[in-house]
Amino acid sequence: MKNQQNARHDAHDTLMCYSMHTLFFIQLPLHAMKQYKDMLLQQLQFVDQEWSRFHESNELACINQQMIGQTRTISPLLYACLQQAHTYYVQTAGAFSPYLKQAMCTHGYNQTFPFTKATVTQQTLPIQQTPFIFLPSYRLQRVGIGEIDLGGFAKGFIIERLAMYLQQNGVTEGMIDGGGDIRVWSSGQKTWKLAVANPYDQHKPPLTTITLQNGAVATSNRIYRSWHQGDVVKHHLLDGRTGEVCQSDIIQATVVTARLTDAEVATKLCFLQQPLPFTTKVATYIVKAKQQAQWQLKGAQL
Amino acid sequence: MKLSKKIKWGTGLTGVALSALMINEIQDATPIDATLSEREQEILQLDWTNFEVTIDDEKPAERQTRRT
Repeated sequence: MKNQQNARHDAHDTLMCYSMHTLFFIQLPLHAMKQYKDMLLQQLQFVDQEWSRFHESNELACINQQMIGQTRTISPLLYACLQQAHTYYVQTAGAFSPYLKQAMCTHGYNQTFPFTKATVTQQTLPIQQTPFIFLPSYRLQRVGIGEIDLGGFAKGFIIERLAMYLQQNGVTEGMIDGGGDIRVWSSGQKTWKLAVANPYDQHKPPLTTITLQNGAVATSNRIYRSWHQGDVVKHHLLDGRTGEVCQSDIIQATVVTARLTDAEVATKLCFLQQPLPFTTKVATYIVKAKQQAQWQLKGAQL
Repeated sequence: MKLSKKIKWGTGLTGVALSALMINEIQDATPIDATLSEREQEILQLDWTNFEVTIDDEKPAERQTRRT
């Protein structure tokens, strides 16, 4: 994590820092920022170090190196994150999967962005299976092959946790933005206005804007994190059931829900054209090539 | 018990209690609980009455999604 920066904005303070290869932007009331700035930085630094699949000796790497039959006690926060990701894995019948590290590497995503070309490998995609079971007392047992890549889910999880913690401790309003995946809350005084970026060019005017007081917005895009592996264009959105790159005419999916982890998983399911099983209140904004996008609202009365 | 011993005992207990409080505060600073309380569930309820798609609004947005 690097480059932390503070700036005052109205009656709020803002904090910017890098974690998980992403720019985080946090906006809180002045007094809350003063009180929680250090905790926020520590937490983001911790997950940056311990949860990345690109580090060879962190806690996630140790889990991935477990042998079949071996049990390991892991940190409670990572256990909670993995367990929640696994719950989505079960709820979506494997369409969303946190166990795609080997498939990602086979497709050439074995380095951090930005990159445009990946070497062609002779590896075949591993058969997707459930590699771990969750035991009491934060223990994880390997029962099959497969390695964890939390990807954007880790970001959504930690943002959700931090937002929840701040709310529970009386911080009346705030925004945590991890690379465009945004969680906002308000006690009613503050209404947040958020824009959905143009998928082709961030500097062009946004496609649409929304206002909300409490909620989460996540966006996935198959153009930005894409690369050539030989003559084949690949991107980072994989089908958890097969490990194959998702084939879709969707360019960008934006989802608004109550929880950022729901929104994060929902964007992947939009690309896979799978139903969203975990909430009845969802707004989606799907951008397809040469089509006018529109908000689709489910469970809402507007 | 002599007064001086009572004071020492009392001071010791207070010290233990304060240490425990501090440890609790530090632990509380780390959001690690996996389960959601009723209060958390309540907080999570998205207030759809305040969700609006804004059209022809001149006011700039506070944040923008990114191409993740």
